[in-house]
Amino acid sequence: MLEVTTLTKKYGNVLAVDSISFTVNPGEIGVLLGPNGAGKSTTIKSIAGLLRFKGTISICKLDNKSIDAKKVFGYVPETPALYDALTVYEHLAFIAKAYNLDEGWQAEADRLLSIFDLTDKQDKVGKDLSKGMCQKVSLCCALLINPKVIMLDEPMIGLDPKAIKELKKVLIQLKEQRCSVLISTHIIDSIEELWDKVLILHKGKFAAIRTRSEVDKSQESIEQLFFKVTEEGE
Amino acid sequence: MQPLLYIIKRTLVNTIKKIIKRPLLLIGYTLGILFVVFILILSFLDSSFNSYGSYDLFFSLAVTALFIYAYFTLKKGIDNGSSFFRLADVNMVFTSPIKSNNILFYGFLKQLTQIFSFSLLALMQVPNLRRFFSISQFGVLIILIGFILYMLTLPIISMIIYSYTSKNIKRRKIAKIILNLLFLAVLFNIVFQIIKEQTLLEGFTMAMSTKFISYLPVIGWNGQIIAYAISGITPSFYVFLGLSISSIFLLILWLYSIEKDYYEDALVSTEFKESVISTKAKNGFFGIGSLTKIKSVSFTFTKSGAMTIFQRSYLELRKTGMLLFDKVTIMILVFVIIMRVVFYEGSILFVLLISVYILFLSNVNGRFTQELSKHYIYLIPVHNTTKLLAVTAMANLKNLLDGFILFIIAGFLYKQSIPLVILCGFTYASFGSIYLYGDLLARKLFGSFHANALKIFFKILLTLLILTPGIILAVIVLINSQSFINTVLILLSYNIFMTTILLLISSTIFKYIELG
Repeated sequence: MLEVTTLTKKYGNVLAVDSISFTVNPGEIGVLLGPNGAGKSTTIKSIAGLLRFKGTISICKLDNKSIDAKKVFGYVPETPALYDALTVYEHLAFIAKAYNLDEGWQAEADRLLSIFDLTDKQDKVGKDLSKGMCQKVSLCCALLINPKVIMLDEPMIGLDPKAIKELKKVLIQLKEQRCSVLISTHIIDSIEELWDKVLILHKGKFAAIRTRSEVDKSQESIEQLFFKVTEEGE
Repeated sequence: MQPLLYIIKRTLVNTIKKIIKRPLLLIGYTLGILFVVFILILSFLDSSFNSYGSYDLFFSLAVTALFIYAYFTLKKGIDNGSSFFRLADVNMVFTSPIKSNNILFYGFLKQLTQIFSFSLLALMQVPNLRRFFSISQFGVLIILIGFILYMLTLPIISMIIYSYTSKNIKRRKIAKIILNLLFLAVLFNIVFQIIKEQTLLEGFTMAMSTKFISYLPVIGWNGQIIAYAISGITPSFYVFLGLSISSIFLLILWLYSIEKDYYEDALVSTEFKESVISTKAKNGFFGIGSLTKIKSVSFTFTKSGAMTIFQRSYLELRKTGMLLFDKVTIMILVFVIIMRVVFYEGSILFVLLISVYILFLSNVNGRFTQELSKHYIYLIPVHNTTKLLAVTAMANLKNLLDGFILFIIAGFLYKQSIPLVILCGFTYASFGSIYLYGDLLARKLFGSFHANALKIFFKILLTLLILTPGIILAVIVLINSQSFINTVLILLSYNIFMTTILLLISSTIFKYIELG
């Protein structure tokens, strides 16, 4: 479970995120939406443990910056940066070592590589991969650890239609395995059939947090909801 | 630590494998290493070097260089911090369950390997140092040690300062004021001593080789280490070495004790570093960087066809304020004045030699990368040669203007005739043209090389090959006629001839080269 409580982040005098709280429960897919500059990236980087902040963030009841929390946390960043001279397979081997994965991780690695059509690319080095392939490797790395909480920042960008289809399948599988999933995206259509909870950030605060049943009841699409809450008072 | 060592090990193994798999790459690297070794051996075998610089002068120059480097590094550090990491580390290592002190040590190891490879390139400057100072055989190694230790220390200091000042703007401002005051104090001391001693050289040496500066932590200690390159190793060398190494360990401990959560600082500076790397890759080393301020300029395009390319270049230069003098021109000018005033060295021919050498170094990364990485140039419906002329016109014009300003000053300093000054200005610009079009030819010939360092090495070789006949001809004319005007005239004629040939060969670059 991912729990964010009164998260506040300031850059100098600029308040990027203002005391936001939310939870993504096990088996739930949360979608973080918001216009540019709303504070999404700051929220994501804070959850990933890359920023200092006020408030608390816990991953499976553990402080997000603790070693134990990191062991169960998968992260797919917006910019998939890989090591230039490491092959695809070596990236996975590094993750296996870094997360101290059990023997037999290779089978899972092979499965992931096959899902994302990277089996024949596994000996290619990071420098020689296209942006889409880098994104796929980044996804494989995050999924290899069998996370209890996974956060994906614009995961569909750069992926081919087959990979998007496979990723959606994987996300549903994760949900079935009681993993908490948080996706940040601008492409609302891409997550239409996946989400359970939508979190709309605007000017550093939540403009709306709705579950799917709440949105269904209101007979609004999340796109309509997004424009309604972000354009109010503009 | 094991997973982090895995990254370093595999990076090294894969790089070696790649080199072995490609014989051309292997030959290239071997040639490159042999070239550096050859230059070093040659500089030590040739006893004709006029090594008159004193130990104090060498120490003063070394410490001044360290001060200047520290000033800019720390200033940048206050704004953006400093990072040993790349974005891949942030995404994969920072988010992994590896202890942050192990990650810091890993960053430190990475920095060490990067500095070491950079130091190898710096070795090529040893013959120039040998020209003025009697550097001992182990001197090169000593300079390298001092250089590497210093390059390792400054980023840690930067990170420490950043972690204290990043919390609020007021602290940042205070830190900048303190830094400026410290360096103004050093400058004031130099000026004061020069006025007191009445000679530039002695005043400068007196100011910068005091005991106080020698014992100054980090800058003084590393300056001392570097200066042992002249005096040779004595027991006190090991004392300064020990001080320098222990200061690195103490600074790491300090950094770790004040800020275990350094990820945010490292993230900010890594993102900054990535943007600088990508700017350099796109625009070349002297391109418009992310720090370059872009002025607002009102401008209307009045021309059509190829001339719009020229007008765009002109607009860019106006916006970046690099129309006349940029850092390369200033660097050359400062060097020429130092040579003349401090060392009483050389002649206008020497200035020409040095200025075209610095111009060459500034062109090593190429000035065309920015133009070639964008698709517009390939699509504009104009003949390729016209396009190439239009693209390079601004650069050629700038070289010409720079050349004239430079040689008017040099002509004044060396009391030379106006025709010679004019010829030198044109010759300077003609060398610039050879570098420009030679760069394009190198792209045509070596464009497929993956390793940038190797590409640069072959480009250097190619340019030397193009220039050598002209230089030989000029030397023959100089020996026979003893006339600077004839010598420069020959150089200029040869360069114009070669530029025309290069222009014709390389004009097809816009036709056949693949974008990107």
